[in-house]
Amino acid sequence: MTASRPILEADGLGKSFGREAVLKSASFTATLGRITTLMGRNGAGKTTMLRIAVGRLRPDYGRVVYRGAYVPRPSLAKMARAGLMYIAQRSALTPLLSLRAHLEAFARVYDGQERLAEAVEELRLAECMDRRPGALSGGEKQRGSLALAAIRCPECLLMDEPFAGVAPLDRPTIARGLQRLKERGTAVVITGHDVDDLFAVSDEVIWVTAGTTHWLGHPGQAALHDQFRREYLGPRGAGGYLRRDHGRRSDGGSI
Amino acid sequence: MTGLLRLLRLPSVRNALLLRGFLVWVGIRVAALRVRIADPNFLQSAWILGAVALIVFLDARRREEDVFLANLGVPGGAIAIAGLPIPLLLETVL
Repeated sequence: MTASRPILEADGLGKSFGREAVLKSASFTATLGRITTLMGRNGAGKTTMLRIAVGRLRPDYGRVVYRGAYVPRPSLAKMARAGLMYIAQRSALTPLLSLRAHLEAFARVYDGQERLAEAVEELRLAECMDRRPGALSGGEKQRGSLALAAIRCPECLLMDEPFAGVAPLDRPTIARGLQRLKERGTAVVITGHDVDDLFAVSDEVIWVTAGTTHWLGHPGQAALHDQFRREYLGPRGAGGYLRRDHGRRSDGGSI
Repeated sequence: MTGLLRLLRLPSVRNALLLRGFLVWVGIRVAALRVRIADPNFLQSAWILGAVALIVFLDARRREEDVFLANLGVPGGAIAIAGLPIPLLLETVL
């Protein structure tokens, strides 16, 4: 576990919708230069946790700490001005603008003109720059959203289900985009179910289940966790993921 | 204030919100006519402008445009205000 202090801490979050308690003391952190993945079944509360952390939902209890300061009423706009970015489940794009207009808006506000051209090339967006989000595929929207992050270069990125609705051909591009941000020092938190893709990019896994969270460590450690294997990974178990995980053992050494 | 200034630097979004504010105002004024409020007094005008601001904000939230704008540091209040210039002018002039 890194000795770096987390840039974002969501601690002891609780949230009920009507009588259903979705979250009961759930927590996660985001650390600079690391990718943290929240994994769990549908309805486990992964999206809810991200939305609470950026102020899109008010929790029943719990606290959010950003850059070492307690944030009593999180606000995405205020936290964005302090270096945070949030990409919601469908995308970060608005139907109002073409993809080009989106990228240019970010480049203008965040002085990212140089990074714009690089992002378009790395994320293979040249062909769809003049289209609006309604005319983009799922993969193009996610690549477009990642391009905004590449231009913005946030200190902390929360991205909900980056691989959802993305064709197999686009997944390596998304993965590279996330890793590039991590290499630039961004603290990245992602969610999802695509175990192969998520394990391949993650530095640490947090399992969201029964309203709470369990820190499982590195993907290799997560794949060996008995309860996680039984209740989430299923029959495939640990073997497949360890082999695909570039031969890394749970202790970080090589197989 | 910073958020509003950032919004002003985005002409497409700014113009879209201006237009929406105007269209919402027209709708509210038509509805007011149906309840025989043809010439609103000061308080009624204030309520109309408040409703315009709220509807413009809620509409942006419904479309999830507010997430894009929030990532640019533009808060919901700035979105609501961006819909007001034309209705404010019209309420003043009429």
